[in-house]
Amino acid sequence: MSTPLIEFKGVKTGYGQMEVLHGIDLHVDQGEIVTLIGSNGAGKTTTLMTLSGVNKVWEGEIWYEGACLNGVPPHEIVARGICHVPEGRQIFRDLTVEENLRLGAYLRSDQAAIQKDLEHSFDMFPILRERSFQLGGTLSGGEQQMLAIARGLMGKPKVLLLDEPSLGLAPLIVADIFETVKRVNKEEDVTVVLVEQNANLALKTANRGYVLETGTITLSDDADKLANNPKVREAYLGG
Amino acid sequence: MIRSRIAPLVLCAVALLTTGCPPADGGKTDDGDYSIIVGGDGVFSPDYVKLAEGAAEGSYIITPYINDTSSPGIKAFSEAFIAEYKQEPDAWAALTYDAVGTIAVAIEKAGKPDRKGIRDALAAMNSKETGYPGVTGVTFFDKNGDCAKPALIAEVKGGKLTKSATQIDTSSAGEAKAGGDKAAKKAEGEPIVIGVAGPFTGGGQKYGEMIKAGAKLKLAELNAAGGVLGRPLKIVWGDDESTNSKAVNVANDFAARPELCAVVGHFNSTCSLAAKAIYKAAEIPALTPGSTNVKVCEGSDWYFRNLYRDDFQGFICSDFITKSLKKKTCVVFFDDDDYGTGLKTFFEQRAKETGLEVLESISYDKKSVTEFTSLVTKAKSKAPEVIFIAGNYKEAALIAKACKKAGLTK
Amino acid sequence: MLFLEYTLNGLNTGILYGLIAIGYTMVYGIIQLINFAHGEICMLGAMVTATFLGWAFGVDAIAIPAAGFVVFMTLAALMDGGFGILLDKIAYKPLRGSSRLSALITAIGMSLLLQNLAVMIWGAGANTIKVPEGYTSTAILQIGGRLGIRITFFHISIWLFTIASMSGLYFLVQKTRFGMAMRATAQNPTAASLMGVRLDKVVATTFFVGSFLGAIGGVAVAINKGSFDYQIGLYIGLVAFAAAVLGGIGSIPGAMLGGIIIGVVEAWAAGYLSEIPHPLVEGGISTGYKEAVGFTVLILIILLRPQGLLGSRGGDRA
Repeated sequence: MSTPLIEFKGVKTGYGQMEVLHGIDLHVDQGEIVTLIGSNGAGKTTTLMTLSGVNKVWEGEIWYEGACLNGVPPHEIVARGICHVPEGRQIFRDLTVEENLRLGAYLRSDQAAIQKDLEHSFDMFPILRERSFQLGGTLSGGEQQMLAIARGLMGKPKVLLLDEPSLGLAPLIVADIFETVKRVNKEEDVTVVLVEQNANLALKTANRGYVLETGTITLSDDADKLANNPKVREAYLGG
Repeated sequence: MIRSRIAPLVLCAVALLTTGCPPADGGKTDDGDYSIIVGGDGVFSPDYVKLAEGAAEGSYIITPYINDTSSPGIKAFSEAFIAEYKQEPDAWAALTYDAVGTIAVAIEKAGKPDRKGIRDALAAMNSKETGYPGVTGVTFFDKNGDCAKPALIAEVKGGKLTKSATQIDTSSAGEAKAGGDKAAKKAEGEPIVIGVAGPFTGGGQKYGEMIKAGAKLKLAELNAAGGVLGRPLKIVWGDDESTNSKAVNVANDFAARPELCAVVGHFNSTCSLAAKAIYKAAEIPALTPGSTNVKVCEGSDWYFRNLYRDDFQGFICSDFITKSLKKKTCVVFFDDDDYGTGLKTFFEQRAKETGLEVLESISYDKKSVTEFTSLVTKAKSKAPEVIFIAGNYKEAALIAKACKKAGLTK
Repeated sequence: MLFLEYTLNGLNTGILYGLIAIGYTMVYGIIQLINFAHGEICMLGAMVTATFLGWAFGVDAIAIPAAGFVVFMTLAALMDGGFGILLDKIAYKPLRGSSRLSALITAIGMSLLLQNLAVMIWGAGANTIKVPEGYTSTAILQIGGRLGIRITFFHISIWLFTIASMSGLYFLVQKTRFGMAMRATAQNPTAASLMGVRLDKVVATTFFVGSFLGAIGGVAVAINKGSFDYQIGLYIGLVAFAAAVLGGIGSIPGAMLGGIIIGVVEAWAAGYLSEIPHPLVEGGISTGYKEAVGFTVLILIILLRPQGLLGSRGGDRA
């Protein structure tokens, strides 16, 4: 087996004095969709925040493309191809839809290609084309989520970190979004790390999964095996 | 935003099109003569001329002292001062020089550096004969602690403070010989300590600089001539920054030094008024070389001054305008502090009696005033013949500059 | 006519308050810090300009060449922009992420430190900025005789500079990629950094632009006033901060609008306060209160519109 694209080696981190991740090990291979499932406060978002450099690693190491990411600032990590679509959508409310998308391509300078990708985003989410001059804050929840994902893809990432993309959305829109994730993964060879409350949906989308409980990884397996694991079924899939 | 930009743009365009229009100058215009600036003694400082950058030219300033070297007593002092500090002494340097000298004589008379003894010796200097003859004239006190000294008129000419050809009062300054001719003995023993308080930093810094220079010069002369009571004299400095609260701090600090037997200071009236109760309670005699507010020596046996009061000064200022300059209208700018309001009140009182019309009295707060343009616009709208300033040199310089910019003065 | 002149006076001082207020508002917009040392940065700009002009043309020069004046003032303002960045790097950056209160106290500390530093370097006395011959006194346009309204090169140059800098800022913030990044950072710094925006670069640019404009504002205020000392930043900074709050802190046009309002109100107060009869004092209310009137207007407007005139209500940052 070749070296994984992303590897966590005994990573510990937290906020202030409080340790949230108590030394986790995980890896993500090129082209995979990997999901982290777990209850609220298990440390899923923290894991993504640490990977994208917003949180500092206290102990252990994070490796990406054969280089250690410890201490690398967030903008540098973005430049290396890891794009984080944060929880709660976090779009820029006072910027227009188009400006939001262009900001996703902030580190790119190939204007022609950016324009093309912009069109591509609009093709993927036609509603965004209609709203391109509206302020981000005026969009509905589902539209904001689409915008957040489209914005993430504008950076031409190698790895897409998705944090709770289904939060607060109608089931139909959620299905739509997960279709898009799969398509992007397949067609554009984007590796995806997916954090999701809706474990059922997540395990259907992903290749592999990790179960995170209070800052520790307790289970890891192929997605379909996890989905059939009685413990997982009981705890996260509603029996 | 956009709308507010259009107005200046239009004006700019108009301005550029009409650049050919000649700047208004040349003495008399339809609006009458240029106004003349007359300043109270707070304006008397070389920094008034310096900061006003040419706008001070032609101003008349009331002062208790002019460095007129034609008088022999002043000549020696002036030469010694220039040799030491490379600039001419101003009124405050001279008055401080005399104040330190007066205190030294009082200590000699008291026979020991005792606060009560010095106060009594100062109070005993109650006539021209028993007074202290200095470069600013004879210093002697009435029962209040006030001092009668003449006022002189200085004129800014060629960028210098000179004695004006127009004077209102004859002066007795410089008649007496400064300093003593005692055989030089070496001063020995424990030093005798006095305090000198003034605005050594802050808005009145130039006053402070001059006060320090005058005091140091006298100190050096005294100690070279055998000190006081055969002991060296020592000065501790207290910086009141021209503010009441700092003046109180300085007074408390002085009062807490048992070896300190007398104080020369404070300079600003507002500081003297704030500090005098502390000196009275601590029974320290104080002699101010600059505070002219009428109330400074009132109600305290321990506070003295060696120059005139503002009732006298206001009287002289007003009479100078009506009798010497022969002008009938004026606008007054006054500092919102004890000195400015006091001087303005007496000036207006005398003006009323003599038919000088005060068109407007404009006050300012020296702690916060950002610029004088609008206040000068107000003065300008009254087209006064004279602008009288009752304030400190720094703000006076700004007013003079703003008047020139507004076309009010030449 | 007189009313027009007061208004014009107020506009002239107001745009200078506005230029300085931009520094407060931009920094606040990006890192939610009230940079109380900004007034001192403006003071340093004026001090350095005066020093450069003194070196170049002699301390006693009465008038100096216009080109030299512009060159040295620009140089000083660029240097002052650097001081702004340095201030952030030394004092505020180490505290990024800690409580707002500690950053605020640091800002007050820096303000005092810079004042004392200025006293050590330039002394506590009054200083003047030399200007080209006739710059502030020669009337380009004179309306209503010698004692009428007078418009000089100084006025025209501050108007032009203000228009140019406001347009430039509008272009930078609204039309450029970097400006987009600045706006994004102001709204949500974490999300912006996840887009690859370098927070440090945005903050440094903000400090640079604010300090550069502040330096020019400081020089112009010093010229307008006639002289200045190490304390000029204290009061001017306070007024400019009030202008920023009045206009809605975080809003650049708001800062300019707030500055103009305070300037004009102060000028009207200077002109008309004494016309209002005072129950005890003959001659009406003292014009010494003109500065207080500006702050009263601030309080009234903030009571009615807590977010300021052009500020947005609330924020999307918890």
